[in-house]
Amino acid sequence: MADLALPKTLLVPAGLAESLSEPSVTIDDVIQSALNSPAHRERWKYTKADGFLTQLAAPAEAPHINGEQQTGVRWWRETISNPMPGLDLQQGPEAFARLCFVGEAMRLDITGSVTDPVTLIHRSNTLPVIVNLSANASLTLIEMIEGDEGQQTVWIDIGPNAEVNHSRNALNSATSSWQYSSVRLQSSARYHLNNHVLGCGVRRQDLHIIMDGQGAEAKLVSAGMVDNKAALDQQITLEHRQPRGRSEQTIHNIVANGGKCTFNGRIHIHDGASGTDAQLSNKNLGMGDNATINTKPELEIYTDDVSCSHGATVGTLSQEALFYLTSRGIDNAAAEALLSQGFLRQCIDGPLAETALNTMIGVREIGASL
Amino acid sequence: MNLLDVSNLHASVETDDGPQPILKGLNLTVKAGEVHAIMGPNGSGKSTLANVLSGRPGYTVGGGGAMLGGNNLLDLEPFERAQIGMFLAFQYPVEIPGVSNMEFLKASIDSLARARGEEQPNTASFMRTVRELAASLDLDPAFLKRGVNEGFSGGEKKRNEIMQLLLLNPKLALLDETDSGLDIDALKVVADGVNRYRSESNGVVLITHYQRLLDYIVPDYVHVLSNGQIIESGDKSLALELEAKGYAWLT
Amino acid sequence: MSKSSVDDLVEAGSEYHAGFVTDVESETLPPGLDESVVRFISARKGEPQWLTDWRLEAFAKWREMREPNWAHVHYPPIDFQAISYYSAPKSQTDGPRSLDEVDPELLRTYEKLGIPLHEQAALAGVVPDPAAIGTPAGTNVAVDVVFDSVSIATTFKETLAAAGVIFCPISEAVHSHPELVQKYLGSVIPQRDNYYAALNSAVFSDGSFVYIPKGVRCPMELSTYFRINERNTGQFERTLIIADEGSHVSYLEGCTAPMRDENQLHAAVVELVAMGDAEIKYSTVQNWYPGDENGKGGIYNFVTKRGLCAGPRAKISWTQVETGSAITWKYPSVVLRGDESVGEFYSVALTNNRQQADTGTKMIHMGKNTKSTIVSKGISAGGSENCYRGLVRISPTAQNARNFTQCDSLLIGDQCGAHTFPYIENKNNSATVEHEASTSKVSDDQLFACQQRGIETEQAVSMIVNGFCKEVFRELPMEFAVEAGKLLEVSLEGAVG
Repeated sequence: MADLALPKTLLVPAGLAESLSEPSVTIDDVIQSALNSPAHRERWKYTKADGFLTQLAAPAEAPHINGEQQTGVRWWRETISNPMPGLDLQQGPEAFARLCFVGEAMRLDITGSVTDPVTLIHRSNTLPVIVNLSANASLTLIEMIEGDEGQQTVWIDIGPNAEVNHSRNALNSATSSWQYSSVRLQSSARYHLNNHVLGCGVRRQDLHIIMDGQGAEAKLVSAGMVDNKAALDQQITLEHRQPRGRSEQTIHNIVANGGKCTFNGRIHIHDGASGTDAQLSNKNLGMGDNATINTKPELEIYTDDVSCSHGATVGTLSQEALFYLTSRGIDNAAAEALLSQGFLRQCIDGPLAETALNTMIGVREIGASL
Repeated sequence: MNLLDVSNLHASVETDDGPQPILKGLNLTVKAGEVHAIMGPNGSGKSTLANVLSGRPGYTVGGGGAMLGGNNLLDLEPFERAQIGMFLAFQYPVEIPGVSNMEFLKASIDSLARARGEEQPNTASFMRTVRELAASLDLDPAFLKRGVNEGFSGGEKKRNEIMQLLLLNPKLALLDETDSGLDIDALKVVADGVNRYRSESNGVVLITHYQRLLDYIVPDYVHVLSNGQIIESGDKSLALELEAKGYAWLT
Repeated sequence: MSKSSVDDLVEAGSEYHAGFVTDVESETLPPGLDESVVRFISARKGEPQWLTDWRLEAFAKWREMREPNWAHVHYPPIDFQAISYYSAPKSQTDGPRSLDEVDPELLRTYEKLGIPLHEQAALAGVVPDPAAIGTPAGTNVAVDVVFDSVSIATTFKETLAAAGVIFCPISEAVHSHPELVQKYLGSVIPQRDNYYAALNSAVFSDGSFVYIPKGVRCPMELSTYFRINERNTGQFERTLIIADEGSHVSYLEGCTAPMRDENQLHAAVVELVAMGDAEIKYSTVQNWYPGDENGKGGIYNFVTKRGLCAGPRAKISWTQVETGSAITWKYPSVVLRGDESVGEFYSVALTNNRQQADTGTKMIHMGKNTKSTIVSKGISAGGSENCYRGLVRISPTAQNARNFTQCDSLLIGDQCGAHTFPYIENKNNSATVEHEASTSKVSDDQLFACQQRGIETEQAVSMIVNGFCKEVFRELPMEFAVEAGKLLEVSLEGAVG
């Protein structure tokens, strides 16, 4: 296998360099070895990294925003100059490289309980977005991905006892799309993500969550539909670094008609993160012909006082449920449609639910009103 | 004309060790306006009868016939059987997360209406009907927005089955051990529901293990099923006799 | 478990019961590996030219390959030139291999190894009527013993021969049944399958060969006992089992090694072929020396095991109890090629002190209606690392394939690690694959409940761990189940006081 490489030489802004604990070696070497480490290779096992890497240095513009003119919200563009907590070169070398290449970022500071949602609409390659929540602040963050091609990176740092409700729709029919999100939770912080996604030419979603304070809570719910030879690759790493964190992940994907869907969910519980409760469930429904489903729920556990479980299934519709529906007079095709919709709907929620339902399911009149 | 006509029915269930014959020449006739109770020990074939008549996958009919209102049931898909008026109240109602009860009921009633060439009820009046029915069966109307049977207690699931019975108003109701696992209050609610459904134009087949249910839904006939055949038929007194003596004296 | 009680438990040292050295005069090749070593081994065994060529081919491939680095294990680089690739007890090299000539020193070795009494008798040359020697379970066991590089004795040959069963050292089978060996050697695990399999193909010393003819149910359990004795030697045994149509065999494998300060390499290859309607049950109790409590010494157990369900309704079942070795790298797998074939993997892997295990299985579904079951129980104690790595692959041709995987980890103490890496790759939408994993610890509540009834901590933990492993022990032949339970207890001694 050829070595992975960045499209051009990396110049690290002074502020970013400070965030790294890699002083002795040149950063180029560090990122080169991170890109080619076995763990990172593993994350790109089922999707080719090269295409995404060559785009890393592409020009980017600010995302469209709504709701930024509220009390407690500050939104501006700046040259990257400050250290960023939670930066992890090993986890996201590409995202780090993008920060360096672009050199600028959009900053979103939240200093109180913000009532209206803040909406980001990405219509192309957009500048990295860095979100900071002060202690006790709260935010509803909405992201919509549009356009034919694009890379978006978002860094969210949630202060003590602060809360983010994040909803994201990636329902565009792009040739290539990559979202990288890094979320750091301080003590008693809460993060809730509703992710709705359709496969596209090649779609990649990386999510790195760090439970960096005691008693933090994360909940991730994702519904995906990968049809007609589309592709989706979701990589989630959730690290419990501090005691008494709780995390729950539910990911449902329908893969049909030549679609290719990859899911990797890694839960890493560090030494000392006692009292952790971490659960993950990934269910895949295969329909039609020639679909490919790869899934790998991983556990890496270094402390004994944990309650931790994961499950993954690949399967078809339940025969029992189908019989129940048809025994009430619903014909076979309609019963199958109802069940597959129900499978996705379990993971569709939040402010973007209606759009997601309409796009992913093409929901019928009755479903919307009930 | 007979509503239900089961003649010399043979059926087996598919298992890992190959097909196991369960029904071995069963005969049963139900006329409109009648309630039949079918009793019998575990493994006698009671649930198999319900499953075969409603078309559950996993069973093979080896011979004999089953007609409902002049239609050959055995030729029909499960949904087609429902569309001509067959209803099975499940012993173990299935949980279907993500599909709301209301959505499910609307899909069902629309399908039945379409099949009969009737107009589909409008959403508002349909929802009103369902809410009223739910309330009459002590079901919290909030459950209608939840997934089908999702998180229901055993009793709630059974009452939901009876609510569907009243809503869909089929020609023949097959109740598969609907009384199992119910406390006395829930049993009364279920029995009231079945009695409300009873009319001169429909029929009921109650499959039960215990006589208790028959105190509340009085049957016209009681049959004893053993080893895949009906070996004894009588009126309600037969059920009392079974209660007193057990099944051993017959088998 | 409270911090202090864990410390107490981890404190006490355990002793490796099989850690003795047998004083046997042996012929050992000096360390180093090149073509001449491969030629020497082949010549020493008087092998035919095709096999010499096959070894050389494997050696050429090995030289082009790189050591795998993806496993969750850490160790200093292995110097493959510092290992001796051939060692044989001298008294065995010339004389005929009759049981009478077994070195008395070796017999004492078996005794120390705890080989059942009737087998010792058999090994000592007393071959009784098999009908008369039933163990309490009513079963007989035929044993092949591999001591360093050579197989030194095989029992019950005559009884087996009467049933048409061939059970002999593979070095002997090369001469007595060349057509079978040539046909199947490398047919399931090709020479360049992986780095260690290639190495084994080049230098394999000895191992067992089994052939069960059509429709024969092997009249007794077959068993191989592996022992590494010499310093600085590697053991590279090779096992090949062929179950012809409609036959049935249960095979047991046990392993031990002396306590040595340096690490020793064990890179075995086991190939199983089950034809239509045949069944192979392969059980392993692996108790190689794990190193001391600081991680000094111990066996590197880098083993490739794979079975092929070649025909319809074939069944291959792997059961393993892994308590030994400094590092275990091992994934007994099944290729389900025949329609309706069945693959099973039942595993208990226990690591203590500084042990590292990266073990699991691969189930490759190719045939229609194929079915696989995986039950893995990992127990981590001390400062050890225990990792399950598995692959369930459903090929486009595997219509209605089913897999169920249950993968549980138990942690004892807070200095160890428990990891799960299950790969599911599905290319057929009629398949059903279910994977479940959980991680738990021996809870204070469980311990308290036991203690409150007067059961001491060590015994309580042992009971809880045994209960945790029950689903796997149930799959072992009766005699081995008892042995496995005891072994677990001994291996946990350091961790639980």
